This record gives sequence, structure tokens and C-alpha cells, in this order.
Amino acid sequence: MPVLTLFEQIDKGTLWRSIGGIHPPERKSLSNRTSIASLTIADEYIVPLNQVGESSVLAISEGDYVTKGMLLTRGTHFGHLPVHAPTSGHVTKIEQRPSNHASGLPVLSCVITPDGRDTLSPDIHAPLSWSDIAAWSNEEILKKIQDAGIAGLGGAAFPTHIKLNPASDIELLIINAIECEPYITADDMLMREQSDAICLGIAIIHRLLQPKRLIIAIEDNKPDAIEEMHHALNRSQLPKEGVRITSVPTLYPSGGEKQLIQILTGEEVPSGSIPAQLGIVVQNVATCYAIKEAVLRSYPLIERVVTVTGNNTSNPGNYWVPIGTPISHVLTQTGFRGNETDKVIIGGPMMGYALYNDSAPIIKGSNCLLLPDSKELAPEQKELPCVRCGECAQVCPAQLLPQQLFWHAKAKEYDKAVNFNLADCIECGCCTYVCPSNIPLVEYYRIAKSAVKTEAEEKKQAELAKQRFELRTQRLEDERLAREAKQKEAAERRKSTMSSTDKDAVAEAMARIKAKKAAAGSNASTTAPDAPDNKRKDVAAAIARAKANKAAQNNPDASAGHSQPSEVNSGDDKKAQIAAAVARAKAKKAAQQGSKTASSDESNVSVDPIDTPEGVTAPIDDKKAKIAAAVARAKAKKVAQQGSKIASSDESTVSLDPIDTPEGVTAPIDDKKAKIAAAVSRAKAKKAAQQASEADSFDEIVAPVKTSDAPQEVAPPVDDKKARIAVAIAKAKAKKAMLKTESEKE
Amino acid sequence: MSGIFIAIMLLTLLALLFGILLGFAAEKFKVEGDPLVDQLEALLPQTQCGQCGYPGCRPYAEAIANGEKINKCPPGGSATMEKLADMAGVEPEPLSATEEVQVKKIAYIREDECIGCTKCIQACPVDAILGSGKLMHTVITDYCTGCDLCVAPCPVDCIDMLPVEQTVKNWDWKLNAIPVKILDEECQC
Repeated sequence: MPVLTLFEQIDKGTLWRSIGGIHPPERKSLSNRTSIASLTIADEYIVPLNQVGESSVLAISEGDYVTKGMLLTRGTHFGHLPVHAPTSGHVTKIEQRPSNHASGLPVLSCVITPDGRDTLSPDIHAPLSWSDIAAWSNEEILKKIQDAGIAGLGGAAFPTHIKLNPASDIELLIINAIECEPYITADDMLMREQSDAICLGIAIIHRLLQPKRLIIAIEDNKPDAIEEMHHALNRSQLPKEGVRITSVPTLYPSGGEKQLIQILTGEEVPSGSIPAQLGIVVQNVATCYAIKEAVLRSYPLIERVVTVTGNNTSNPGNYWVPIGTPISHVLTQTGFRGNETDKVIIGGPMMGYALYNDSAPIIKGSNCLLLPDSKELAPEQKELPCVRCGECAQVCPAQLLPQQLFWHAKAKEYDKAVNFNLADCIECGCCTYVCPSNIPLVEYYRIAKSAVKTEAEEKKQAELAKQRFELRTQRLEDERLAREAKQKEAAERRKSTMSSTDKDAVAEAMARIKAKKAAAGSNASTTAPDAPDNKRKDVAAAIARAKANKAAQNNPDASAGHSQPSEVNSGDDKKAQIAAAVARAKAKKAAQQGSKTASSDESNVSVDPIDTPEGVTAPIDDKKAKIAAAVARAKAKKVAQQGSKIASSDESTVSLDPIDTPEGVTAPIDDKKAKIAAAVSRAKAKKAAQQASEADSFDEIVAPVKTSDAPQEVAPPVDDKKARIAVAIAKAKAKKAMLKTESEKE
Repeated sequence: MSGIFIAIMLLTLLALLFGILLGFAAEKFKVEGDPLVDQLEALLPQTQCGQCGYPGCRPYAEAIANGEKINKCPPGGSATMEKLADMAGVEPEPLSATEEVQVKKIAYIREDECIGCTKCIQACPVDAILGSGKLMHTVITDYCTGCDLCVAPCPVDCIDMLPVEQTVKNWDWKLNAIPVKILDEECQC
């Protein structure tokens, strides 16, 4: 007996043994008795904009009017899949809406409120005939398919234009019309009603791929569809040679891409690769219809056939549902009988997921809405321990070892699960179906898969971070080296250009600096005997002298004022100096004990003994305190205004001026003035505090000149505290005044 | 007598031969660097955050190879600590820092408040912040490791560490509050 080639066997209709699989109750007769119906227009349509922000941009904005079939997104990426308006109306919102996804997480969606007219976009034209597109190039056709936003309608929603543009030559094209999952009859009904259109679509794909063989695979539980397709095939442009319809025995999940290839060719798609690498392309039958609409009519993928079925619906059947129709609208239109707690399942009973929120829309991949009542579902059963019966391994269509996967997934040993080819699991649910212990095996695999995915993602991220870190470290090091080299070069250049006289000049300058330093050192030693053993006093006196000197040089006016009191009070310079030094030392001691803010008042208190009682009574008497505050403010103001340190010699006399006091007192009366004054005083107090140490020193210099030494010695430590209290009160008052004015203003 | 002599000679020759062989192999198949450090580094999360006290993940891996404790990597969490313990051949020990709930965070710059001081750019160990002097900065979220190092230098405190948002793309079945059950059907038609 001669060995037949693969193609000869295919032509003979040979089928290979499928691996695993189950025979769940089909329940298809529920929905395949009526023709495909349409729904009325919904209140709003929610079109998910999945790719916006990644590979595409919005083509519309809120408030725009769109016609049916108008483009909503635009992109140039080769994987870009545009979405279109399912009806005419206004774009009311572009916002996050619950998604039709197992997670139910919100995704960016375009909400369209229909105007009810369902006006077609002008781009959509009357259908062209096959001869019209004969001259078109493959690129043109692929562009049409991409522009129509066609995705695989079997459920995975993979962009069709990518699949139809494979890198390798295609020998076999398989049209998948298996529809093996229970309940679903969308493809069945579409084949019965639109067989000619489907064949046109298949012809377009055939033209694009030029395969040697074409198989339309239909499960043998759809005899009507098989017959219709046979007739349509005979009428169509498709070549008679190498094209056949193969009836495949009913078995779940023979509709899986890899499983179907196994059944029809006996070849196994290697793990991790795609069928195109074997020269095979599999297309869903509903996609063929959409391709025909797109290429011949420019009609984008804006509606699809959805099976609405289950015991909880009063009108089970198939419906043309626009993409973006809220599922709640479909439910009300088809007579949903269930209550709040009944499940709405997207997809079939084997691979579908329960919906969280029925305001989620129908998307391109949703082929079925299963509305089971409580009797249809297996009751929630408790998971029992695995008994190692091995049933799951026998039904697994991917030839995996579900038990082993389960053990490792449960133990979170994901790397071991990966070694058992976790990635090849198609999540068909056969193992769960047969498990006598009611273990939700697929759940475990999904969790394991997502954990593996996350881990891989993290690893990639870590690798990227490491690379970037290393590059950065390298860059910083290079920069540093470059800088150092540059500096070195510059220094060398300087050295080389420097003449000998310059060098001498530098040496001379260095010598001068040294000499100066030495002189300064000897100076300090000579002044030491002036003051007694107290070193601090000595330093203070030196500073005082230096400052006086500077003041005299800098400002002749101020120096005049400064020299006057000194002349009046003491003729002897040296004596005054010593006194100043002593005062300075004392003031410093006082300042160390007290806060710096007190310093401006300190001088005031120490200058005039009359002020002292004022300070004592301040906390008791309001008015007096106010006066004190005013004085403080005024002083602060003066300090700030004069700014220069030399001016402080005048200050002490000014502060004693009675005119200042009423000014301060009247301030709170006037609202605005008070507010300004308060703000200014606060700011000034702050400034004064900063300057305190310096201002303080000059006040002190003048102070001892006016009064005798004796009260001075006693006064600072005692009065210091009182003065501080006075200032604090003043500040508080200023604050209060400001608050008051503010509240009044309000 | 000569038998013993021959035996001794033979063994000596053999020892010599093997010695030379081993010496040659050691030279020929010499391993550059410490492979343990590379393996340890591969386990670390590469945030380069310096929370371990070392300037980056590589220095910490080197320190572990030299006997440093394995529990100083808060971004890695206890999972990383266990792997490190396994690799370094020491007993696992609880993390030194209090381990927070492991939510991945990423830096975000409040762009209105950014004054363009470039301080965060200098602090970022993975060059994930884009910007220029006196111009607004922003974080390239794909590159951000969530190391926290940019938060402290910001003079206007405009950097927030926000948890990575859950989207359909990074959604995890584990977090599914209502488990989706694959439905089995009992009734026969």
C-alpha cells in the first residue's frame, strides 16, 4: 500500500485521532431554532478604547457627532486595531467604564448616545462584486481589513490583518466552524443564513494567502450548516480543487486552534510556536463574514452575532448585537427572567467567565451570553482532596499532567509547574469537568499562569533597572574622569604660560600673607595685658575697637553721632574701651542666658532704670504692656529701617523719646494701621532677632556710657527676663491684633 | 622488595600525572569572578534603593557572599530573603526592616509644583526621571523601580509614591474577589 502524502490524506478527508476531550451535553437546540434577530437601539453604547494611549489616539472628542461606522481611534502601529461607532449619535463622554473582562476593572471607553436614526457613515458603500476587487493588491485588501478593525471573532480577538500577513508561506488554510462549546450556536446560525457571504470572505482570505489546500471544518452536530456551506461553496468563486468541507466528530474542545490542526493534519503545533510556522492558518468562520463586509462594503466590524441562551431567558436565540451595546440592554431585550443573584456568563459554560456588572458592553470577542438558572449549574461543591484518579490526564487535549500541575500550583511552586508545561494549558476546562473531587483545576492554573507572568515581568524589570543603573554609574564615572582630566590640563596650561616674574609675585604674595599673620598674632599678644586675665573680654574689646574704627571710616555722619556721646561721657579713650569691653562681656553673658529676641529691649531696660518697673508691671497692666509692645515694635522698626549697624548708637536715645509711645498705642485703634503694624512688627522682630547679637553689642557700647557701672551690673540678669516677657507679650498682642482685624474684615 | 619499590614509583608517577592534570585544568577552566555573587545579584530586585546600606544591589550581593546578613532587602520581601538564604546556604531569618504589605509603588511628580531643580534626577539610580534645569520633570513610569530615593531630595515635596494602578493588563486572577467558576452542567437534554 503506497504511503499517502499529507495533502492526499487531507483530500481523502482523513481525520486523525484527537487527544483527550469530553462530551458535555450540547444544549445547542435551545438557541438554533430561530433565525438571527436584531435588537432595538440602546440608550447608550459603550465602546472600549483599549489601545488608546498605547498604539493609537482618539479621532473624536466629547460632544462630536458620529455616524454609524465612523472611526473613533487612529493609529499607525501595525498592531493597531481601530474601533468604530456602532450607531449614529453624539459622543457624550469619554471616560472609565466597567469592562467586559473577568476582572470587571474599568477601562477607557467612548460613550455614544444614539440619535435613533442609525445614519450610515458615507464611507460605507454598496457591495462591490468579486470582479471589482480583482485588481486590488494584497496590501490594499489587508489595509481594508485593518481599517475595519477586524479581530478574530472566535473569542481571542487577535487582529486579523496580522494573521493574514504571515511571514512564511501558507500551505493550509483552515476555516474553523467547529463551535464545540455547549450552548453556542452563533457560527451555526451565521453559516445557515449567510453562507454565500462567508464563502466570499473565505475567497478573499484564499486570495491573500494562496494556500495549497483549504478546509472548512464543521462539527457533525450542525448538518444544516454543512449542507448550506456545501451549496454556497459550489456557487462561489473558490476553486473546486483543494477546497473541501470536512465534518468533524463532535468532541469538546476540538475547536481549539491547536486541537483542530491535530485532528485535521495529525501535526502538533510545537509548544511556544504558532500554526503559521507549520504553514497553517486557522480563521474563524464569523471572521470570514466580517472580512467580506469590510473588503466589499467598507463596513467595519461594529456588530456581531451573539448567542443569548440559557433557561433564564425567555427568547433564547442569536442576535445581531452592535459592539458596545450594554449587556443590560441585551438582557432586557431578550427577556431575562433571572434575579439579581443569577449569573450572567460571557462565553460558553466551559471557558466563560461570570460578569460583574451588566453595564459592561458587548465586545468583539463576546460570542455568547449564557444565562443559566440555578438548576442548570452544578451546585457549588466543596473542593475535596485529589485522589490521583488520573481522569484529568486522560481528557487533557494538550497532553499535560493536570494533577502534577495542580500539586505545584497549589504549593506555589510555579517554576516546577512551568516545567510541566503550564504554559501549554489552553484552559479548556475538561479536567475540571471530569474531576471527581470537584477541584477547580483551571482556577489554579490561571492563578499560576498569572503568577508566572508577573514573575517574568518583574525579572525583566529588574534586568532593565540593573542595566540602567550600570549605565548610569558608568556615565557618572566617565564624567568625573573627564572633569578631572580637564582640570589637570587647565592647571598644566596655566603653569606653562606662567612667567618667572609671575612666580616671584606669587611667592612674594605668600610671604606677605605670612608676615601679616605673624603681625596679627603679636598684636593679639600685646593687647592681652590691657585687659585682665579674661580672654573673652580682651577679644570683645578688640572687636569693639575694630567695629568702631570701621564705622568711623564707613560713615562719617554716624561716626559723628557716635563720637559725640563718647566724648561727653568719657574723655579717656582707654577707659571707655575697657568699660566697653566689660559691658560687652556682660551683655554676652546675658545674651547667652536669655534669648536673642530680648536683646533689643535689653539695652532699653539697662539704659533707663525707669523702664524697669514698666517691665515688671507689664504682665499685669494691659495698657502698659501695650506701650511696651509699641516700644518694642518701634525699636524693631527702627532697627530694620536703619539697617546699618552703625545707626544703633542713636537708637537708645530714640527709644526713650516719648513721642514713640503714643504712636505705638494709637496703632491698634486704627484697623488697617494695626494690621500693617502687626505684620511689620512681626517681621521686624524676626529680623531684629537675627541681627540681635550685633545690634545688641552696639547698644551695649553706648549703654555704659550713659549710666554708671553699678546698676548696669545688676540690671541685665534681672531685667533680662522681664524684658523678654514684655517682648513675648508684645508679639502675642501683635498677633492677636492681626487676627482680630482679619476676623473683622471677614 | 622490588615489588614495593615498583609500587611506590608507580604511585608517585600517577600522583605526579594527576597533579599536573589538575593544575592544568585549574588554569584552563578558570572561573572569572565569583559566580555566587552573580547568582545572588540575580535574585535581588535591582531597585538600587540602598536600603540594605550598600550602594546598589551588586555591592549587597558581594557583601552577602562575604557573610553579610541576608535579611536587609525590604523591596524583595521575605520571598527574596528565602531565595537568598537558599543560595547563600544560610538559615532564613526575618527581615530587619518591618515588612509592609508588598504593594509596588512608583514615583509620581506633581508637575504643577515642580520647580525644575534637577535634584531628583541626580538622586535617581536608574535615570528614570526626565527633565532639565528650571523645566518640569517627570517620571518614566516604566523605568521607575519605586526605590524612594527621589522623595527626600525634593525641596518642594512634589513627589508622591503611589501604588501601581490595577488595570486589565496587570490584573491577577489571584485578586479576583469572586472566583470565576468553570461551570459544569448536569441536566441532560
